[in-house]
Amino acid sequence: MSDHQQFCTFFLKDLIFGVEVLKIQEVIRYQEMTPVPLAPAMVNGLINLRGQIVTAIDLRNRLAMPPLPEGELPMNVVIRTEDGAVSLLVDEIGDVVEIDSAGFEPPPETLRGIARELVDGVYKLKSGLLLILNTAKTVNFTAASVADPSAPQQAA
Amino acid sequence: MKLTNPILSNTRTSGNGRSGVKNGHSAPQQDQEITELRGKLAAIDKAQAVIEFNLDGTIVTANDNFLKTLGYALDEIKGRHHSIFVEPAYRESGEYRQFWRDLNDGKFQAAEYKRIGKGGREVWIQASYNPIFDADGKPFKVVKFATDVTATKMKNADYQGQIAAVGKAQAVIEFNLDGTVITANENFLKTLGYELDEIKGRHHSMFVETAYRESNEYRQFWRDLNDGRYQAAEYKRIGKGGKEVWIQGSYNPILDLNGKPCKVVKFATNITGRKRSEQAISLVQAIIEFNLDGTVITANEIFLKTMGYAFEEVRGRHHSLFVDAAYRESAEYRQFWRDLNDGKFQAADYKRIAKGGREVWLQAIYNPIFNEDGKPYKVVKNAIDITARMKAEEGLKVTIAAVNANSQSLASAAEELTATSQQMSSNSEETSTQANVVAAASEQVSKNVATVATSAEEMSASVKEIAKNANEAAKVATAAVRVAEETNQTVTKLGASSMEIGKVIKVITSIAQQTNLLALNATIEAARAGEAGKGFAVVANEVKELAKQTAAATEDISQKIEAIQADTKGAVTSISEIGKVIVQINDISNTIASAVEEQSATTNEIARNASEAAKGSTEISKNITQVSEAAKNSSVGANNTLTASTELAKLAANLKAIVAQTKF
Repeated sequence: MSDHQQFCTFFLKDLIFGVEVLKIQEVIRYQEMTPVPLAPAMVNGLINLRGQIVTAIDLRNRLAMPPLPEGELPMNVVIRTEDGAVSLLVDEIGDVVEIDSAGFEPPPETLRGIARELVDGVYKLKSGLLLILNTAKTVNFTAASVADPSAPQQAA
Repeated sequence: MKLTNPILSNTRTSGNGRSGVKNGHSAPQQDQEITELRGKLAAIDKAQAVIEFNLDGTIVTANDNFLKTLGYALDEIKGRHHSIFVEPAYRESGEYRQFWRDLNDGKFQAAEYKRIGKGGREVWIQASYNPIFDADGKPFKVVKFATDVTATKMKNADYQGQIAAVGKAQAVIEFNLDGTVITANENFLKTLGYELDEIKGRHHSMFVETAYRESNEYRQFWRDLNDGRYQAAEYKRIGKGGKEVWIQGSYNPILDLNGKPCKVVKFATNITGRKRSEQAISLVQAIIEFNLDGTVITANEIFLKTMGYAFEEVRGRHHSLFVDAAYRESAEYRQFWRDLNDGKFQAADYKRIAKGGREVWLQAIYNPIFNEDGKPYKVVKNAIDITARMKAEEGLKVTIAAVNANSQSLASAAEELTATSQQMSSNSEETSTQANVVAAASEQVSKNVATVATSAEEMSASVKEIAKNANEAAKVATAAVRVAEETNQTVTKLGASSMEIGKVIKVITSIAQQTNLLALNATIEAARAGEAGKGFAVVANEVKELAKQTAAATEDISQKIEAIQADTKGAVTSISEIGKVIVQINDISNTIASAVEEQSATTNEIARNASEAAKGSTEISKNITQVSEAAKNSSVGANNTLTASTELAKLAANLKAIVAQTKF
C-alpha cells in the first residue's frame, strides 16, 4: 500500500497542484478576511475559522502568478504546519486523488526560480501534470524570493 | 256744207222754175222788147234743151241741145208723142194723163223728170213745161225748157244716200228759225227718248236745262242761227224724263237763195259715253288748250295742280312759260309750234317747268283741232304727270346698272354656289358615311361601356368583399397583437421564472460545492484516520460523487435555464417583432380597408360614369342616326341647291342678257 499516496488537488490558473492529504486540515469556501497591515503582499489577511485565526496566503502571489481576475473569489485550502494552520488561497479545489508513487518524478532541470523551490516533484496524470507543492517551503517566507516585509513575520 | 247741197239745189230748182215762169210771162210783152226776148231765147236755146209740143203731146220741134241730151235726131221724134220719153209704167199711169190734162188746162209744170233717151238710156232733166197761150188766153202749145241734170241727179242720189246714211248714223232734227221742231229722225228720237209726235211743233228749249233756257247765251245761240251762223260744239241736252245726254252737234242754218236762213238742221252724234269718258279723263288727265300762237285758252284743274299755277296766272300766257329757257329759245321749239300749226299732232314725254322752277315730266299729246275747213284753229293737250315714273326710271337706270353688276356677281356666286353645293353634297355623303361608322362605333362603345358597367358592379362587389376581409384582417391583426402582447408577458414571466430557477440552481450549485467540499474534507479526515477511516472514506467518496453529480446536474440545468433564458429573450424579441409586424399588418389592412373604401367609392363612381357613358353613347348613337339622317337630308338639299344654283346661274345669265338689252 505504500505504493500509493493520497493528494488533495487544487487549481491555480491552468495548473494543477497537489498537497499530501495528511498535511491538509480542511478545504473551505471563501471566507471573509481581515487585512493585516504591513503584512507581505502574499498574505491576504486573517481568517477567523471557528475561533481559530488562520493566515491566508495568496498562492498566486506566492508563486509569482498574476492575481485572480476581478470578482472571482479564491477557495481556502487549510494546511497544517508547525506554526499552526495556514490557508492557501487557490482558484478552485480539485479532488482527493490516490496516486501510485512510482509515477513521481523530480521537477525538470529547466524549471527555475520559486517554482523549482516550491515544487517537490511531478506526477503525470491523464488530465495533465500534477505539481506537488512543498507546503513547508511555501509558508516559509525566509527564502530569498520573499520580499523584505515578510522577514519580521518569519522572525516571529 | 256738202250736206246742205241737196237742199240748196232744190232751192235752185225752184228758182229755175220760177225763172221759167218768168220767161213764160215775158212772151206777151211789147214789140220793143220782142227783139230783146228773141236774143234771150237764142241764148236760152244755146244753153238749154228746148222742145215744143202740141197740146195733144206730139212733138212740134226740138233744139239741138234737146236732141243731144236724149240722143235722137229731130226726124226721129218730130210728130211723135211725148210718151216716147217716159217709162212704160208712167206712160200708162193716171198721173201721166193728169200731167197732160194740167198742161192743157194751162197749168205750168216744173220739176225734175226722169226721161228715157234713145236706146232706153235714163236721163234726168230739170224741166219746165210751159203752156203757151194764144191771144184769147187759151193754151195752144207747150214749150219745155230742160237742163240735163242726170249728173246732178245722180250726184243728188249719192247725196241723199249719204244723207240717209248720215240719218242712220246720226241724230238729225230740223227746226224752224223760231226754234220749233219740224221733224226728227229715228236716231234723234231714240237718243233723247221721245216719239216724233211728242216733239213736233214744240220748241228746241225742251231739250236744254232750265237755267240755260233762260240764259242770254241761249237766246244768243238762236240769234246766231237766225243770222245764219253755223254752230258746232258738244252740247249737253236733256232727254225725256230728265235724262242727261251729251251730243256732238252742228246746227246748220239753211239759207234760201237770197242767202237768208229759212230753217235749221241739226246733225248730232250721241257722245254721252265719250263725254263721260272725257269727264273721267279730265279727272285724271291734265288738259290744256292753246291758241295756235301758243297762248293758253283754258286748262283743267289737274293741269293747274300739276304745274302749280292758278288759272289766272296762265290764261293768255304763252306755252313757253312751261318750258325751260334753253328750249324756249331753240329752233326745235319753234319747229314744235310750226308743226302744230301745220296740223301735225305731237306726242312724247316732255320735260316741263312748273311754277317755281320745279321740273315736271308729262306724257302728253298735242292735238291740233281742226275747223270745218280742215284747218287747225287750236291745240288741245292731254297730259299725264309722269314725273314720279321718270324719277322711278332714273332710279330704275341706277337699279338696272346695279342689277347688271349684281347679276354678274350673282352669276359668279351661282357658280360658287354650284361648286359649294357639289362640295356640300359630297361632304354630306362623307358625313353620312362617317356618321354610320360613328354610329357603329358608338354602339360598340355602348356595348363596351355596358360591359365596363357590369365589370364595375362586379368589381364593386369584389371590393366590398375585400373591404369586409380587410376589416376582418384588421380585427384578426388586432387580436394577434393582443395575443402577442399576452405571449410576450407570458414569455417575460417565463424569463423571470427561469431567473428564479437560476437563483435556485446557484443555491443548489453552492450546496453541491459545499457538499463536495464536505465530502473532500470527509475524505481528508478519513485519510487521516488511516485504516479506521476507510469505510468513512467510501461514504465520503459516495457523497463526493453525489455532490459531483448534483453539480453536473445543476450545471446541466443551469445551462438549460440559460438556454431557456436566451430563448425567452429571443422569443420576447420575436414576439415584439411579431407585434410590430402585426401592427404593420393592422396598419396595412387599415390602409387596405380605407383604400378599399375609396376603391369602392371609385368603383361606384366608375359604375355610375359607365352607366352615364352608356346613356351618353346611346344618346350619341341616337344623335348620330339623326346626323346621318340630317346628312342624307343635307345631301338631298345640296342636290336641290345644286339644281337651284344651276338654274340661278342660268337666270343670272338671262338677267345679264336682259339688262344688256335694256337701254335707258
